[in-house]
Amino acid sequence: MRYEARFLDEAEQARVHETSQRILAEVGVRFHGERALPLLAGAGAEVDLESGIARIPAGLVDAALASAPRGFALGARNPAYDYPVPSPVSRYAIDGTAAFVRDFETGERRYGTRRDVEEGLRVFQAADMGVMAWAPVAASDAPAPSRALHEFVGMLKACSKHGQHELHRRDQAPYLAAALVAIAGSEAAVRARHEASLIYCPVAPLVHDGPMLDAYLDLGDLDLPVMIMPMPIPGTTGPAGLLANIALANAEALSAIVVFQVAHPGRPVVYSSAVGSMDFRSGAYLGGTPEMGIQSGALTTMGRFYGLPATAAGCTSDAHEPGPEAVIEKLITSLPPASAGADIIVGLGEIDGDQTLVLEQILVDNELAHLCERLVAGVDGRAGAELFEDVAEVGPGGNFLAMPATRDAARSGEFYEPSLIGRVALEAWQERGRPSMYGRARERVREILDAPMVDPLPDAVMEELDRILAEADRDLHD
Amino acid sequence: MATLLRVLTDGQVGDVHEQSLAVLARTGMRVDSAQARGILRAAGAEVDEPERRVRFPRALVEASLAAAPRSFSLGGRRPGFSLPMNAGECTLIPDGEATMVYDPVTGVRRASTREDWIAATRLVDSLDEVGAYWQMVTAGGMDPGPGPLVAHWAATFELFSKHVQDAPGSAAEAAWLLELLAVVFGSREAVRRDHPYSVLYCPVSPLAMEAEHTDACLATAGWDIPIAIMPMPMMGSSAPTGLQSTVVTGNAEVLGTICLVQAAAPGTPVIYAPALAAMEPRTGRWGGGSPEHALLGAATTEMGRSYGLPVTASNGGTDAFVPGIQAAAERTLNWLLPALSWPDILIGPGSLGGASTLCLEQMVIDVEVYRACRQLRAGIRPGIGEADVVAAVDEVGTAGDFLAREATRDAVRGGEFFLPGLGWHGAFDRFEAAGRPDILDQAREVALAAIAGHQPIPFPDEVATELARLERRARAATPASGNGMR
Repeated sequence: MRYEARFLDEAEQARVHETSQRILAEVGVRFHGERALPLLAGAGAEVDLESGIARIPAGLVDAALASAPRGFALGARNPAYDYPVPSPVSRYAIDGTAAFVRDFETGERRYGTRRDVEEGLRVFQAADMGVMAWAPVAASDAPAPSRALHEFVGMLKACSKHGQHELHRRDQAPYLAAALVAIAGSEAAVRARHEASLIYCPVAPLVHDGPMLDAYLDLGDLDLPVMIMPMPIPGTTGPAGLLANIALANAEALSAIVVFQVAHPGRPVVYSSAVGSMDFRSGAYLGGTPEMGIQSGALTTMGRFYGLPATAAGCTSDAHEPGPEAVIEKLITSLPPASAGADIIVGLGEIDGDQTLVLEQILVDNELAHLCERLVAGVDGRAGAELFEDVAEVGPGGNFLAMPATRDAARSGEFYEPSLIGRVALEAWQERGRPSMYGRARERVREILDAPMVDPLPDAVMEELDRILAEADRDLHD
Repeated sequence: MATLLRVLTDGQVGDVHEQSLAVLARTGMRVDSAQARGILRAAGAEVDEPERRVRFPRALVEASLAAAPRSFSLGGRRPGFSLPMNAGECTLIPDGEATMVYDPVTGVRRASTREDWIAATRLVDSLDEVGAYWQMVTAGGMDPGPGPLVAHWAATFELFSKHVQDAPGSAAEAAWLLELLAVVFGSREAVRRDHPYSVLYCPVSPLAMEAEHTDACLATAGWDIPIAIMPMPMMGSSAPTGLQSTVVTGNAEVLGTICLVQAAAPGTPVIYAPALAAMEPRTGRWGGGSPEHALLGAATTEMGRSYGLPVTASNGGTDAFVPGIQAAAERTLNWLLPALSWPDILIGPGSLGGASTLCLEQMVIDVEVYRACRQLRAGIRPGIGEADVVAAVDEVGTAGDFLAREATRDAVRGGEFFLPGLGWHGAFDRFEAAGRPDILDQAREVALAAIAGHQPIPFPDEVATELARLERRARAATPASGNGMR
């Protein structure tokens, strides 16, 4: 069976839902910006325009949940990478908008650039467990007013998988719309294919950022899917206690679903979360902890509770260097959401609390993702899997090496064959110069960067995208 | 709720049990010990003496399972120490019998010495997460014969005061061991009552019990010494290919051995402990690093629990020969599922290269990984933190923070947050200012400080005197056969 892991039982799922409903109805949520409050008031929420707080009744939540589509495909520029959600398997997204990159040549930690966006995504393109691109670093060399556009467009140029990124200002929305139309060929194609989507993070506790929300509501006309990723941290921006923090995150997600569905009923949304914890000795944010894994697993379960596509942050680490600490934390935070059946786990390629991109780490994490997938696939329990007749034939003290079933299994998925992990004997390993996972990953990254870009956009489209970005650079100001 | 993991359906558990019974009834086990065959014949097994083949009828297996106690505690020399079995607790037992050491000072992999054995034993005695002991590394250069063996066992109990699990190599060795246990723990009755020692018994896969080891195990009958039954079938070589068929093979071997143990002394505590493994299909080697081990370790717990028995679960290990990235990845991966399945005892921190190489740094790192796994297992507990979440959120309001609330403080102190003991978890600037500390260096410092600073609990004078007398007598005795386990 595919193994089962549960982080919330059915009664706890119901408690989380009921608590979230009470939070929305009794405490309310503050909405900044111009568009949300009038929409919510018109839909039946109790809105206080002075404080910006909307109290959302349970009926409005239920209606929003009912209008959100249960499934759709995250399209890709190369249709071979279309990814229907919900998915029977877990796949991965590269982590996003780190401030820093570990320079591939010098090893120096420095601010990210547009070129790093491109190189990170060219490596991610080769990661077979990856289905959704994020802009992996902030493009510090782009003008601040149009930076998010450079990152978004750079991502879509460099990777032909589904692309998801964010906007920070309402006036960025028309440029993004133009870029998406240039790539897809028409507005209808943008709407139909869903090749790009938006990542939306409420501000914990219980606040919606105005410029971002207004921009996303504007882009609802293009039916761009929105992935809603609350980030309360228990003990600071969320109540201490995992269950309480999960209820708060869930309330924030529901409040976002409400506003997006009120504005554009039927607009695709993805239920997600990135709920870490705090280092109580320093106050620092921690993303590589067991609590991160548990909450990702539990919130994936809540997404499924609502019947929505569900993703979660995972594969995260607070280590400042690639190495043992990074892989320990990444596995601790990957397996719970994978076990809970997350459609996508967001986190490939970064360390340092999501603040540093490491190109080799993208491929190392891809290997870890394969290992997790092998675990989740579990024990094959199909009829005959016991191979009783083989046991009877071999009998006490024999061996099964030459049995046909052994050969067949070795050629199937029963034994996972790693690509970066070495399993040779000590002597052979020494003779080969004591290779490591990161060493092998580094060789592969070099090969990828030396090769031509995969699935490049036509020159005319590239020129049009450059023109749109130049216009944004010229027209957008602080 | 505590995080709940299942890798086998109820149907698969039932299938494994039924297939195991069929294997035991049709194929049976080769039992090389004449004494064991006699005991099993008297208990109702069908014995083919020329073939040394014993076939186990269903009724015998079921009666033997019924006779095995469901709950008991493992004791130790440390005052107040007790590991209740089947009581929702889990502890670590270190990996065992490495012949090589990753030298913490030079970083060179070399043959182990007695000094390595002492260091490793002192280290695990100091670690609260490790409740039970295996001989982690061979104390190289030990002379044969009962005298050095008695001295070694005495040193083991002196340096490690929690529960000890080991395997006498022969009936003669077992006799010396029982004498020593009576001295260390005061009496045979104290050994029977407190279970400070358990025997590790490993059938040979597939489906065989070799003579000397079996006779050694039988020699402890009547002392109520728990027997941890640990066959090690390896998928594709000593077990048929397919994870479930490997589970069947190990399960059949455990059930057959339970028949022997219960026939020899009904009511003897047993621990369900198959160490199921997967072959590396390109070389035929065992390294333990592949993810199949995690699934097999969790399946072990589920099968043992289906019988209501205490469980020791294995996690494989790592194929890597040096501590580092691959070792950390494989150890973490392979520990997650067995830890989430929550056995009574989890094997085993501290080794590299397919359990061939002791590594003190890895021991410290593995214990930290286990701590994180334990937090994952604890899961999402209702009743922790704010008593009324809605009221608390209302009080803080939108865009506030929960840092100064009493419930936050209580949750931190109540274990709701994992507080890492290893690695760097602060800001990057401070990380750089601190000289970019490396987790391996940190683990090495922790290990060496523990080894240097830990004070094992000394024997009372009268016990030390009596042990010295026993050792002198053993040194004067004829060397026993058997090789012990070191």
